[in-house]
Amino acid sequence: MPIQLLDRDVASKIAAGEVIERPASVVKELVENAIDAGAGQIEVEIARGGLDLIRVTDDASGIPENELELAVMRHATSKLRSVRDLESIGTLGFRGEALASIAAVARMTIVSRVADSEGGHYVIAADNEIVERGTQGAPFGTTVYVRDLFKNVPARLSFLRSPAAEATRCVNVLTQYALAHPDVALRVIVDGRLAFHSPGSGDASHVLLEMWGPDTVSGMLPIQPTTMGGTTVTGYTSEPGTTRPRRTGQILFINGRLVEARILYYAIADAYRDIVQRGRYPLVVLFLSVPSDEVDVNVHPTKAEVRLRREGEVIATIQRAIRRTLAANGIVAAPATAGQVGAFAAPPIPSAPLDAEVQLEAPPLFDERHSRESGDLGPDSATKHGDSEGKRSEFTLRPVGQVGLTYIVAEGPDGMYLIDQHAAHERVVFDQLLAERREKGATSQGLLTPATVQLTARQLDAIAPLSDLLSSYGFEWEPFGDDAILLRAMPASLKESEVSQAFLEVLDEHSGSEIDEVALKGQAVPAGSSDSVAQESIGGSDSIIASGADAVDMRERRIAATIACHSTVRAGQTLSLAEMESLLTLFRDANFPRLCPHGRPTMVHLSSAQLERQFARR
Amino acid sequence: MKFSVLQENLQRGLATVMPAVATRTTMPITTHVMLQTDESRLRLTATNLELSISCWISASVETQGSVAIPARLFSDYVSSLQRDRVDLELDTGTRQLNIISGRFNTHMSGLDADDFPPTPVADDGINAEVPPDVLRAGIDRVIIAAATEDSRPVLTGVHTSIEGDSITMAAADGFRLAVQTTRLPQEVSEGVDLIIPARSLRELNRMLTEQEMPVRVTVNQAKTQVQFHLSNIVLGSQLIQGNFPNYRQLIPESSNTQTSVEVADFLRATKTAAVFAREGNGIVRLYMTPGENEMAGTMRLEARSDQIGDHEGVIDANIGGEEAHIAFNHRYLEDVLGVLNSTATLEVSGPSSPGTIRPATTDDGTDYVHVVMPMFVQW
Amino acid sequence: MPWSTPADQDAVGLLDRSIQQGRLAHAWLLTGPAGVGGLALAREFAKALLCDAEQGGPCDECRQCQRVTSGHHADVLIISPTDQGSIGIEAARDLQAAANLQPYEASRRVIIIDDADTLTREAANALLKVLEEPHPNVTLILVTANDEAILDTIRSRCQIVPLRPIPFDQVADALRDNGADDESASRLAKLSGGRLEYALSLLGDTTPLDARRTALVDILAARGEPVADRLRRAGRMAEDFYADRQRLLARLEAWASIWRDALVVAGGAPEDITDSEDLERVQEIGVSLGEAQSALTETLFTMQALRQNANARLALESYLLSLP
Repeated sequence: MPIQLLDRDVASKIAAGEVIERPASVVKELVENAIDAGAGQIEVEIARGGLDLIRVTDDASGIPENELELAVMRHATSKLRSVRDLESIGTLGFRGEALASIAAVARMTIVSRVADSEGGHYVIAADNEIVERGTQGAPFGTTVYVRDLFKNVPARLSFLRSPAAEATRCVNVLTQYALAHPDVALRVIVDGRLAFHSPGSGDASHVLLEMWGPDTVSGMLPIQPTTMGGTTVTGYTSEPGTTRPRRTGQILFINGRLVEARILYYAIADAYRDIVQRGRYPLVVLFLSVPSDEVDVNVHPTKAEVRLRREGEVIATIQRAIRRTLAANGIVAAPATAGQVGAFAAPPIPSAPLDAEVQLEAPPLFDERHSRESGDLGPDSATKHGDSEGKRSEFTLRPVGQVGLTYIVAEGPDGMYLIDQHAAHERVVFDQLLAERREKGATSQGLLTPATVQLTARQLDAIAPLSDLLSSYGFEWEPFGDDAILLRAMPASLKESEVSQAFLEVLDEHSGSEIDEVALKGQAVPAGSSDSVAQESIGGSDSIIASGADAVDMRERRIAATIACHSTVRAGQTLSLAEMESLLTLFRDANFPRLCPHGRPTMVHLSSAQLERQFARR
Repeated sequence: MKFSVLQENLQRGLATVMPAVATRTTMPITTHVMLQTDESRLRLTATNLELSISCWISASVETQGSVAIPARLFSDYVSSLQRDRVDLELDTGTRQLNIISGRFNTHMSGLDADDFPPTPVADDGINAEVPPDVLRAGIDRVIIAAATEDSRPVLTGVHTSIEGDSITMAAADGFRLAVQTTRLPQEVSEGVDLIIPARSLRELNRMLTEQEMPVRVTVNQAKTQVQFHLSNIVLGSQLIQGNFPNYRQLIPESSNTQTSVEVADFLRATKTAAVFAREGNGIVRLYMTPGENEMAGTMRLEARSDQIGDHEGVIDANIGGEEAHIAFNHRYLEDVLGVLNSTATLEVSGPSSPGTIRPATTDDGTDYVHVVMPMFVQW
Repeated sequence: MPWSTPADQDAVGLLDRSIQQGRLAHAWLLTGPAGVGGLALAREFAKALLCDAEQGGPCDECRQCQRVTSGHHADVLIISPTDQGSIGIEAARDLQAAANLQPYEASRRVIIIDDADTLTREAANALLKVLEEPHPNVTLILVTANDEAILDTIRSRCQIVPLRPIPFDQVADALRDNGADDESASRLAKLSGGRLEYALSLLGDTTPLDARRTALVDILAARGEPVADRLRRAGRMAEDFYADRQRLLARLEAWASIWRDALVVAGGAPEDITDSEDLERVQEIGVSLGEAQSALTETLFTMQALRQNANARLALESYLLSLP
């Protein structure tokens, strides 16, 4: 539609407020405009976090000369004419004031060329006024240059983070648009280097490939379109082994628009309960389509949040979609015993899907969470909830050999079991470390020849806040010069050859730059805002912003995990039969914990029934 | 090359050198064994570039010569032959070794012996004679403390220092140190400091069981290799580069409590405690209480495991100094007690300082000390 | 002293001078495109370091030189990637053993790591340990065609010696010395892009040229295919990759070469094409400058991803879909 001035009614309905908060907001607005205008190719360039330059070039229809100026003036938009339009919008970016808002805080140049014109035209705007206009050679489409952002309102600059952090935020925003519009080819250049590139092939999984890399994406399962009522869900969801320590990998689109809705994160967490360990979050990309009159996107000026009229239905659809996908891929949740995920008396174990025929039927069974697959482990395996108090199971695994020096092949009551030697050992030691520490304090082995460990500045800084925790695990050290420490004692379970490594890893994990999950939302959530209140009411344990006690608990567990990792047999290590036996005994005595501390499975089971089917004996 | 040998001698000779055959094929010829006639004997040599073993067996030699033959193949083959005479002849053109024994006739392809890593002549350097039992005792007692994983490669070796009329061997990993000094029957002309890979010494130790004559120890001028000359066998080892830590300063000079015990009692008590200690990080707690009025004191060993229970054992001890307690990893105790006999003294100065264990009696000129770092526990 | 390798003479000069002046770093990194003679130069360098004659370069007559040439020198260890295409922990152990033990027969040990960019993480850590505590009589020589993939922590501890492609005339001369006629010498010299080893190998074995022909045919075919067929093609290529990594990578390299030609043609310089015999068919591909550039970039990117163990099917599907 050609651009028109909104009537005041509509304009006033649009919540006033800050639209342009940071470079990522600019990027968002401009890219939305480009997509709305039908771009097939978009190129975004960012310099110095967006403060020096933000450029968005598209190959869309262009803005006609006579509308160029209008585009820059306040309250102009081509997409709405009345309140009715507002109520049932199909397009994004109805906030025509965006361009004007940008012009108010930056120096903006728009160059555009429309389909059948001889050349292009440009306007330069600053301080909300047109400063210059003219003609210029240009390719078809539009390029917007935003320079000197916030130069005239320096106070806003103090709310920004480092240029690198702002650039990362912009890239995160752009990757989400790429995901929502996989048919649009998107190139993102940051400080002269190609930071992201979506081929525009139309397949969302290609964008995921670009975002997360093949390793992660190979751990993602496609969700077949699942419909309930008016809601349809499709997308990708991750295997239990592919997780992150924060919710950065959970991306939701409703009707093609990126949203953040806490109630939906909760739905995801619920679907993954008992499958993924606490503190680990699966990666989930969901494309939801909901009738446009049942979703309200006008809650907040930067359009980040939505309100759903039929919340329950949406939640249920998401859960069903995820659960079905997991089930179809043989990932089964076990009935939880009180306490930690992963410690079971007698485990139904995730089965390895060998081919389509062996898979489970996507079961309604699932919704009741009583899953029992065929080929159970015999009478002993009847779920005994009370059994987890250290009573050893009668269930024994007999090692047969090693595969790839990584997996132990064992025979058990029902078929074949493959145990990841490192994951299993690591989990056992991890649990031991935590238990021991809680009960009587960790044991520490002194070093006769103290180890010198060189530290970077960042690592040095990380020591002080962690000091108590490190000591409580058995590390003892003293400073040695300006950039090193002398380790005098270490957790007793650590291998001596790995003590320095373990120590450094613990420091690195806690000092690394925080993955900015808030970038997803495009803005910071100020403390004490209504947001955190909503947080608490849903359920603290799954929230991004963990409560105080929780954060410490997480750190304890992470340190324990690192120590466990360096105290155990590694993948690639040859084990004698005796060593395999003793490892399996340890594993059994710990009641076959199902997940390693990092959320990866310790064991995979091929039941006798499955084996027979595969060999066509049944 | 043409010669004859007896099958059992050849088999024995091959078995002797086999530990030095390379298992990885980075240099294919090191998976071969070199056959070399030496006057009226046959010399067999194998090397993996760290350890090399040469062995001589008697042979009836018609023509001198040499060849390198695939070790495993040759050894398996020879083992399958009857106890009989074996005739071997090399076709220098094709480098095929013809082996005839009884009615079995075989041809094996070999490689040019010139390509075999040269066996260094180590007669141009240090020269010392050490009685085999001295060497064995030294290795036994010291090698238990050597590191197995090479976070610091020098610690996977045994530091050997020969000076004047004594030889000192020391080994350490991050937690313990063992040092044994022995007197030599005669002085050496030149002193030397070496770091010998523990692996090589273990192999040497196995050979020393049958050795009666003194062992001649030589080091080449460049100080890159040490050779141990036994009767009919020479074991050579590359030395480890680098500097061994100054271990003398790790040995505590004084102690607050000296506990003298029967090694057999101490070891048995430790092994029993170990059954429980195994489950819970390997900790054995030692409590030393001096006796009163001429009564013997006691040492109490404690080990706990939440899962299976706890254990306490008491043994007699002669205790000088104050009451003390300290905790060790049971394995370290078992290791050192296993190489001592009769009586030993444990000296401690507090639960966070290293403890030392020495044999009570020093038999004919040997001096041994074993230092172990304790575990830090809640008392 | 003449070094018998036709590699970049500047690099040779640098090494020669370093030996003569006794300015020897304990670790060197020879980087340059594949086929430019990196490994051969490393060997020559090893010889020069151990040579009894001590005149700078290798004399090729003394026992040390001869044993290195024959591959039997106990103190020269050459580590290369396994069939899986990487250098793993087993090789790293050999490296550590060699670096920590005294030399066997010479005055120093030389350890050459070919394709050093394929070190696994554990192997790289082991190498790092050796680099951090060098012994004075151990020299490490790393060779790589893929400089970017070398860890910074490793690179910073090496003396870098860049190997540039050899000038056209030199390559042509060398080819003629090896029996090629003028026309072939010229053609192969141009084709090899300064990689003498490669050019020489082409004399004996024209498979790479055939590979380019095949690549041309494949690309022309893929151009016209609908998405579904391209995906199938990608699937077949993925299977080929699993069967024989290097072969598929070589194929992709040939594809890259064709795309480069397409770029050159689209850019209006058809005379710069690699093999003039291909001109017509390359023109048949019919892409714009931007498309050719993008296709070339995608090809190189895909090769990199495959080398780094990306999921082959995904990477190849993504690649084929991205082509014009």
